[in-house]
Amino acid sequence: MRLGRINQLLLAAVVAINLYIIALPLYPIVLFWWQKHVINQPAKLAMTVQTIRPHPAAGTKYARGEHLIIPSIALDQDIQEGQSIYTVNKGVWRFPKAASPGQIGNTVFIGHRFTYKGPSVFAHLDLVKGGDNITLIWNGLKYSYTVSETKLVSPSDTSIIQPTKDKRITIYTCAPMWSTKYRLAVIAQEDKS
Amino acid sequence: MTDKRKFWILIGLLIISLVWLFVARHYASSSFLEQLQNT
Repeated sequence: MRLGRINQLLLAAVVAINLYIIALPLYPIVLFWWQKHVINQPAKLAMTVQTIRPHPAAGTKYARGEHLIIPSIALDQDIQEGQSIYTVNKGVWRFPKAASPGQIGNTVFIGHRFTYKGPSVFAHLDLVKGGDNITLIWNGLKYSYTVSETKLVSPSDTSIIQPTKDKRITIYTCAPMWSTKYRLAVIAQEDKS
Repeated sequence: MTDKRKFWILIGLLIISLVWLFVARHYASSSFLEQLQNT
């Protein structure tokens, strides 16, 4: 009788572990479908971005911390700073060897397409198209960018993180989904105000 | 099937599941991190 109870618990543990392994890769897909088709998050974020002032007002969500906002893929994430590559497991990581936002040069952001160890922040980066708006809140200032190019490069191609003479951001992640065969890079130029 | 036999089968499945979980968690991001390390 007691062994029967233990068997039930073991069965529950086996089912739970396997559900976690199978369902977690599908979670970003389901979440984005819900954000796009149920709560219309991309449109809401696009409107929110328009209301953010060049110097976000004190007391608002964007007044403190650094944020990366891409309305077209319902992305609104804090930016993680750190020298260690493992910082990328926490979310959107600003590559420390690259330029800071606002400076002339290439500001690089890196994130996972999918991981079990943290948020899969760039799961839908492949849906970003030329002309899409990207907003950055950095040191209490708002920066606006327009996507000029998206491309796939090999993992050994470091041209996407090289310094540039213009003000741009490069966002990259793995491609295709659940693979590291390529890097998907989204390049955006700062809007001239 | 006796409870004892079921117990050992489930222990086996649990071990396989835990190994699968470890492998999935480790390899889902390790090659990307390795590439970043070499950047």
